[in-house]
Amino acid sequence: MQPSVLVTEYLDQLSRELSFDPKLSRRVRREVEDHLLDAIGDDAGDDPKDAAAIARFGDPREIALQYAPLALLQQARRVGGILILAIAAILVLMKGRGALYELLQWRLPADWLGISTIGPAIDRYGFMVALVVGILGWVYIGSRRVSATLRGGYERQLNLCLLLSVATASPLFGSVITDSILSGLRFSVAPTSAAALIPLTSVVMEVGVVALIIVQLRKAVQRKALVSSLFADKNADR
Amino acid sequence: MLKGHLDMIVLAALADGPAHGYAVIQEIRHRSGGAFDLPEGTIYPALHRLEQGGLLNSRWTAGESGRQRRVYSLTRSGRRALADQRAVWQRFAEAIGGLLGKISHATVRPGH
Repeated sequence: MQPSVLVTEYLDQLSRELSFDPKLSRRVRREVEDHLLDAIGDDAGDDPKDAAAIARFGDPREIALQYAPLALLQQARRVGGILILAIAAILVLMKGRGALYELLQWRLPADWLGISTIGPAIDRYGFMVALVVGILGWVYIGSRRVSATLRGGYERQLNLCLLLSVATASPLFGSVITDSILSGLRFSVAPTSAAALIPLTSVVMEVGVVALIIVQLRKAVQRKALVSSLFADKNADR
Repeated sequence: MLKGHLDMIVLAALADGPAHGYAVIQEIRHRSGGAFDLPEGTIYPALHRLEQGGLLNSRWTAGESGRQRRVYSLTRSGRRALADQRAVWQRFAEAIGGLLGKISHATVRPGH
């Protein structure tokens, strides 16, 4: 049985209201379509029956708004988890690379005094700041409980989750960029050898991790902005 | 008030076995004698929230009509949560019952 035009229009509107989470939107649409077809029964296509079933189901904006608090918190948790894993991965890669440089005696030339002292310091302290803020952020995000609405306090908590994620990611990016530049300088003075492939691969992996963080952070910020714009009037009413 | 207890109501409606969203709503309406006539769309966000909280499982199955439908069932944590909430609610109901009983005696007294 196919849904009527009225039901399809309603489902389209619900999908639009849930556009902040495309996967959730597809799932809810399928489920609500099944529900409405059940509710309408054998009278599909009968406009009054369809309209009554839709009215009983409720306003699509109100329904979508009830999904938003969990969707936003899940995205924040995902970013927090990815940041912690990224920090751990980058630590292992950096330490491994450092040990390899020592083993191969690939040191930065002593006459590059500024670079060989400032560079590693930026790298080290950037990483330490990212580690501390990342752990604090992860604990904070993990301890948030999902709210039934997006009212003031909960929205502020979600904003703080995002802020902590950005505050973790920024020094981490600084650390990775500095480390990549230092590695490049080492390669420039090191003898050409197949061994260079190992640190090169680990630098590429770090850059990949940074790209993953950027994608997830962007998604989280976009989702939050979309929810705020979609439900700006609803939040103002509450 | 009903909204604050929605999770418990949904868990209770699934206590007898797995069901899809529409059947959960029918069960709530039937077991409450029509008293809980919620906007039907409010059940789905609650089902989703409970599933993400680990209190429910869900899976797509083929219904009698041939349509795919998502069926929900209680997890072990869900059963435990329902038992806890049921015990809290019973204590609350007994306390309110006792209190209202006393109030009705008190309101009768001035008329002696």
